Amino acid sequence: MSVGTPTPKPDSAPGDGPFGPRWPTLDEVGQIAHEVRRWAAASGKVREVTLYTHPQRPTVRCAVVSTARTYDPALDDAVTELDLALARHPDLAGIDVEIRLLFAAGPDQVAAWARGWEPWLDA
Amino acid sequence: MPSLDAHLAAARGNHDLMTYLQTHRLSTDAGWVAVIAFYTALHTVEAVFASLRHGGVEHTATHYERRNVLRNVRQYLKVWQHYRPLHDAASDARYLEAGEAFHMTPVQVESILIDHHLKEILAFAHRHAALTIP
Repeated sequence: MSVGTPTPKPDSAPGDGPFGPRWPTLDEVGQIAHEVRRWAAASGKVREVTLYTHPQRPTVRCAVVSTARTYDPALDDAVTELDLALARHPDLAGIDVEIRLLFAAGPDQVAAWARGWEPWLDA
Repeated sequence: MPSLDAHLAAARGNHDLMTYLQTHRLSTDAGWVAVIAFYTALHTVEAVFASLRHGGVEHTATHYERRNVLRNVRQYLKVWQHYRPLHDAASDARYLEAGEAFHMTPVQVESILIDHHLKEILAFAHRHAALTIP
């Protein structure tokens, strides 16, 4: 995993509010990417995963694009489980990861959802 | 900051409208039913925050804040499991984020969003905060 996005603010920077997220480090964003892609590969129902970071926001956005256009409640529930697993992950707790399941969305649609955010690029 | 009663009134008003559309317009307006189901959930969640104050939180002002409280306050993880699909479905219904049409069928909106996810959130509110919405 390499860096293709702006450097997030220091990981010690506070979030806003009592449950405001902390800023992820570059390594942590890489770890989130690893966890999500491993999950996606195992699901067999995901066409692609793209992570995004933002220079002024601590949130890590993650677009999960399914292979099928048809709504799949099992996949939706699996995304919830992934979300919860990331929230409970001892190394990633406190990081705001926003996962969006987009059913067979095209590149333009994913880009529209992530407008203003910058993709996290693999090596 | 809206009061507990204001959120309860909003949740009940949204639930009434959702039920009306579910009964009369589900086949043609499933997306709107999904949107109003989500807003019923949102105001129910805010009423729960105002009532229970777990984590010291009695109000959130944005979807972003709400997500972080639901994901990070242990007592609300069960709510988050059911809130996330409602949020995403409503977002897709409003903005058609993934295509040319809302991705759920009327039957799925009714059986999954209303009769499962929303029902679980309403049950949580009733069980843990003694809040009755419908």
